[in-house]
Amino acid sequence: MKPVLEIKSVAKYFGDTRAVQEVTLNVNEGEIFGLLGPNGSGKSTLMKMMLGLLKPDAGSISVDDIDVQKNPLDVRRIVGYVPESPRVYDFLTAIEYLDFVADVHKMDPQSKKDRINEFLRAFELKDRENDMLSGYSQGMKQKVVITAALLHRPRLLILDEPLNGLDPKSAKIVKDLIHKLATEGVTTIFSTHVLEIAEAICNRIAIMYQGQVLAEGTTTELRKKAGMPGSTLEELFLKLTGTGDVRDVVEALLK
Amino acid sequence: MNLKTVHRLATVLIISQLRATRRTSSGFDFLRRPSAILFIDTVAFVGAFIFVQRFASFLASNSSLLIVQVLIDLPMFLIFVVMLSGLLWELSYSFTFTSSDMVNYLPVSASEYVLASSTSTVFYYSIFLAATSGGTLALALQSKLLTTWALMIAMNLVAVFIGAFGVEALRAFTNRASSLLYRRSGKSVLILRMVVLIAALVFFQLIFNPTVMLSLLGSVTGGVKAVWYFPLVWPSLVVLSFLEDNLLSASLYAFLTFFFAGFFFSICVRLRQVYWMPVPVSVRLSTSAYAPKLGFLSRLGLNLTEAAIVRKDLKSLTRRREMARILALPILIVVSMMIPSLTSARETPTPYSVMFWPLPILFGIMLFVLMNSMISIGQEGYAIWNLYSSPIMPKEFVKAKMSMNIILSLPVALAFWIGITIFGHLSFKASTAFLLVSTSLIFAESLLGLMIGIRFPDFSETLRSRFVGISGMLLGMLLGIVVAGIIAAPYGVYLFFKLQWMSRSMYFILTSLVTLSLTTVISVIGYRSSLIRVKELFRELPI
Repeated sequence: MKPVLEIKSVAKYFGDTRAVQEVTLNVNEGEIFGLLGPNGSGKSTLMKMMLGLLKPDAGSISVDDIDVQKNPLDVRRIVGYVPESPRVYDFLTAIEYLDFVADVHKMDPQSKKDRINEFLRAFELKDRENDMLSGYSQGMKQKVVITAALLHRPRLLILDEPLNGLDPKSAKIVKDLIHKLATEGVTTIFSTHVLEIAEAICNRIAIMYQGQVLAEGTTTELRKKAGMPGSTLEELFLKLTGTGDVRDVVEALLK
Repeated sequence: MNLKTVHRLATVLIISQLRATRRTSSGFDFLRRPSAILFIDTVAFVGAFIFVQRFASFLASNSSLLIVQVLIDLPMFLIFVVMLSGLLWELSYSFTFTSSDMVNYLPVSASEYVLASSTSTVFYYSIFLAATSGGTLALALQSKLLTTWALMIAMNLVAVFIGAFGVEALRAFTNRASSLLYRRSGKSVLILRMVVLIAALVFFQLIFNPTVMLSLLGSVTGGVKAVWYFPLVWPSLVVLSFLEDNLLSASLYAFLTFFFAGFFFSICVRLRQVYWMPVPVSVRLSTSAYAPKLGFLSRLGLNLTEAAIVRKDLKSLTRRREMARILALPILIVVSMMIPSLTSARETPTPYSVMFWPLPILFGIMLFVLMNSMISIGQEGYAIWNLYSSPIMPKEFVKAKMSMNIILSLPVALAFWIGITIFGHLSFKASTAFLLVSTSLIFAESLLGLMIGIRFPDFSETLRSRFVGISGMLLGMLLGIVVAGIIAAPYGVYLFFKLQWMSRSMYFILTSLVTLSLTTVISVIGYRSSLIRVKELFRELPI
């Protein structure tokens, strides 16, 4: 199967900080690929490079055979992106914001109207659609940004901690939606700190630490590689990232 | 009330205000500390003292009455200065920050907050106090009114606190008023807010126009005693009574001043307790169902993406209160430039007097277009990722940003053109020249500003976001004036130099053609440079 996303030996440095080092990954069509790692492990940087928002210092990335560096606009036409801390135009209403995003993607009026209304209804934002986004809660803004990422029916979804701030019902909708889209061939790159969610929805997982991919595969493969059969993803994660024993830290904090 | 909490909170508020407005390079980091204000105050005090002392003997011999008047009026004047400065600050900073008031979640009482906030306001604007104290000390020494000066200083201190309490009251009141209004109706309130903001900004700037200020002071100084029942003049009446050797009256007014300060403080505390809303209110802009429209922008030749960016930017300009200063700028420039001219009598028309109306208006248009264009990139703020992650071509981006400015400015220029032609009794040639120059300015300055905005964007979101780097702003202003000069130059030549071998009409047509050619050249250079720069800008997310 031809991978939709190909990352070859990608590296990114910010001064002396090696944010991403020699990362190579392939993600296939219809796959839900989880990116796990502690804060500052390079997940968001890698995701930004997938969309061409950041330029790799080494290596290459292609989406659907399109080189991100050479043709970032073509990539953005087929990608939906939810950043880690999305900032929206607070002076617009939800409708105006989504209408803006849809127009930028050159969607036809009827299609954009239908899609926007569908999502607003699903996320229970219909009665607040004409309110300025400045009055929205973090979770409501997150719903709007997720809608914006999905409006133009992307081939690849890059979701950086998309469930942040969402209420349980909306989180369930997003998870089910990702599953449904996967069956339709949409590929998803999904970053989260909630390991149970990653385990539940991702086909494959990569664990990143200090800019490197420590392990990659299905959860079964990861357990086998780590020699921890029967372990939970949390135990596996903590072992691989060397952050396992937190008892001393907790005890020190309780003193 | 815990005074230690008040002190800590006041320090934090001062630091936050300093760091929000002064983004200087590392070489001027000392300006980010509260001690910088003390240093500036000292310089202002000494500077004002030395400056006034040089003229004090002249003033004392020629206008001793004026010196006395200054000592009397200063406390009252300072109340207004602090109140207006605070109000201006309040009106012009970004709405985003009104909701991030950390102090709402800390165990700080309303009285502690009001006192701390007022102290920070007084400290922030203490330069007025320092400069006037230094200047009046020189006058008092010359006139041997040192005791009166000391009393005035004490009254000044109380006065600036009264002014700061006024700012606190306004802050709580506007918070409540806007939340109430927003709930009732959206768009009309947004427009009303913008109009009020612009009016307030223009009023504040004009009040410090020397011509206006002198006439205002002249009318007030005549009758401080006549308005004794107005609490804001009580600090001045203390000084006046003391100068008249009426100690009983001075004591009474001093008591009333302190009583009023305390009473006003308690009102502010109550207002904060009752009206403060830390959470941003929900603003409903419409109740109608969503129906996508192509609108008039598509008829102007803009594609979906370009029209979407233009619509977004127009909304940004009219809905964000930090944008009010940009909209107020042309009005302010035009009015400020006209005030001295309006007061001076003009007898016979000269080549200069022909430019009496058009020149300030053209300057206002030029400045508005240039400023609006320069900030058009940086005003995206951290939300710029929305554009970066979208399939927007550099050409579309430049065209949209340029179109937004032109769409906004052209009707204004046309309205001025019609107005000035009718009411300014302009000749056909003058009217045509005005139309051509204003239109040319809009195109050329718009593209020049865009070029600068793309090269020097400032996406940082602070209390008072700048949107364009300081070096870019200076370069843009300089180039903007040069470009305006180049565009207007042919008409200047036409006005002052005659060509014997060409008829006046032909000469005018030639002048207009030269102006249009120059505009085209400048605009093409601006467009090309913007396009090259925007490709560089879009290469990597800058924040």
